[in-house]
Amino acid sequence: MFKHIYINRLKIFVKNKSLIFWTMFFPIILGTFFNMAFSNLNSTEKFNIINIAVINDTNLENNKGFKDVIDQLSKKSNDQLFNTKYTSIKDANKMLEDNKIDGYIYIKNNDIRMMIDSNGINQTIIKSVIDSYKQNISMVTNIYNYNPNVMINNIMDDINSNTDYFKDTSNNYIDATVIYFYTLIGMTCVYGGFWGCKSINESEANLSYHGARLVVSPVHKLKALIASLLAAFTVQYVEVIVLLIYLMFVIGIDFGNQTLFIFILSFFGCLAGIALGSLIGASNKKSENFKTGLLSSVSMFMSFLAGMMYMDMKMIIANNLPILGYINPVNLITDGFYALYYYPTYDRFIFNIVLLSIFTVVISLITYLFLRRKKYDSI
Amino acid sequence: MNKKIIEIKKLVKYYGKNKVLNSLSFDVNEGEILGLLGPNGSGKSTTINCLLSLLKFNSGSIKIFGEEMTPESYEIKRNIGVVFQNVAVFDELTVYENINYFCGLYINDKDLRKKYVMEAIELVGLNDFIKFYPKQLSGGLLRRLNIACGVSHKPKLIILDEPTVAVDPQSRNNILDGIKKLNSMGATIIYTTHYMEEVEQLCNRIIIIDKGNIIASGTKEEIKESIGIKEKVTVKVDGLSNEHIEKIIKMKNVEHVSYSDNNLYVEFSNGNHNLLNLLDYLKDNKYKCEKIFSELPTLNDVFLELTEKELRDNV
Repeated sequence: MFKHIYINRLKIFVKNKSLIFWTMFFPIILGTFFNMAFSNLNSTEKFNIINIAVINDTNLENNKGFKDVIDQLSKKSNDQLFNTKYTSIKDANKMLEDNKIDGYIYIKNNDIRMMIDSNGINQTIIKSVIDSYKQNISMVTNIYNYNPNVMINNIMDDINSNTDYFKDTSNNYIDATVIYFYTLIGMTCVYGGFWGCKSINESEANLSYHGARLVVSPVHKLKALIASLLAAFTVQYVEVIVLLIYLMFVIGIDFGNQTLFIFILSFFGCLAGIALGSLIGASNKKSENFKTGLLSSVSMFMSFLAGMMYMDMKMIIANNLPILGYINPVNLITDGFYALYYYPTYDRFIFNIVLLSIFTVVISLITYLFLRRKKYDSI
Repeated sequence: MNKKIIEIKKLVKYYGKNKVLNSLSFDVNEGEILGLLGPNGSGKSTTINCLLSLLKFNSGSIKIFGEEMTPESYEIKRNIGVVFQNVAVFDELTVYENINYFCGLYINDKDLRKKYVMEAIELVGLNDFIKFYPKQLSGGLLRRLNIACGVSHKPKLIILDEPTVAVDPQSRNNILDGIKKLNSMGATIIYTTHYMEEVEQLCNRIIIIDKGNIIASGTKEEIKESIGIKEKVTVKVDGLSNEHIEKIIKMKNVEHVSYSDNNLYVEFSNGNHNLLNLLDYLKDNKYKCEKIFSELPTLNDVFLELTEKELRDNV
């Protein structure tokens, strides 16, 4: 029975020309337009050493560990990340104003902070170095508090000698415009919501006569719904893979060398998209057209917040309203690709996967609350 | 005594403060075609939806095949076929695929399902349209497909909720013939409609509902007799003498006679062969009858008498 419903739902979805256009061909067309628009821009730049300043005061002297890390990252070598000047706060502000540095780092109340006057990849990298250092220090402190006998010096040495913060392992060049393509993939994943919404509409007796027919049959409603949603996921996941293949091999977008992780991220992205569509489908009794319009608007707004129309929007949200970024699946997918492309470790990537999973589970639970009724007040 | 397939007792349903089913009670016997007749908004579809456990109801009980009907009554559901008044098929699937999909919700065995699907196609006369998509079908053919999707699994109980709304006469006849065939094959049928001629043509027993109340029930003859509506006959006959008019007045079941402009008007009380008896009398007395009209009471007359409303009124 499950297989019967799954196969037939697949057939129904695949033959739905309108939705296939919007969920597969529209993103491909949009990707083509993006490529045409960006091909004239010299957006590819060498991964340059970042100019920074560090405020040289007593706070820095008291934090020798951090200074050692900065020195390591500023050593002249193939892996050099920073070109660092130790200076006063006044000079640092002047250098920042004259665009001689991308930002400066200072320590206040034992907290390492940064000052920047614009958002960009270099600023993100500075922030990530600081965050990573703080995270490691916090971990060591916790270990020390738990077991003071641990070889703290060895750990500290290990941390301080870690010069691999931002060694670019996957790319020699950074193309800023790839962010647009990341948001496009994010949007396409969330477009899976159209299939989710359709599945819900056609499984609930109070939403459609198709649903009524299903509910009066001897099939457990949830079982039928899961079969339908699985078919929806299959279609959307294949569509995203088609888009990825198109972007990689036809347009020539460089996603780095991490194909498996790209597929994993797309997998979780499609799940989140279908969950979102299911919620929109289950939460109200409006027409299917209304729900489709609502989902289009929501996904477009999410894409906007993730930087599809204005790249800096992603950073603005991250700095001013980070929670909005955490609950926006398009942003999480975009950020996941971003992390894969720019970061040598998978921490940030995994963080995005975890947030996407939480989003999917929470949204699915809310949807279940709407669907758990067995009889309806009205049809 | 006939086996009861459905037992509905004191069913009450409110929509907000509006009571749409008012302690409705009736049974459906095995093998019969029960017509649920009533105007729009009378409570027919609500009754069906409660029966199918789709709608919550406020009080009362519903038993199907002797067991209480609940949303989890899968064994009961396996033996029920439903045809809703709105067409519910998938535009993306062909005629065959649609029927196969819905049949597959009931029948797991592929070979048996294939056989059933072909029989359903045969039943509704869609043999020439197997590979057609719903959008390629006319309204009538679409209705037939809708029916095939609902009955292909050979259920013991079939519920048809206004299946002939807005269909052409040919498709209507085909659908009605199909329903008779299903009944002759052993299915018990509940047929809701506001087309009284369909009910008269199909149903063994009729229940007339208005505002959530049963206002009449029985066979069509019983219902008509219960309100004493008369058969009216008009015969064009030249030169009928007063003597014969007097004799006609004295004939069996005759209640009233008048004669003007060579037209004889006779009203009969209930009874059989009234028109034949009258024509035989005129023929025996060498009168030539030219035009003959007979008006039998219809269910609409019954409904009008009981509610002072037309059946097709939106109430």
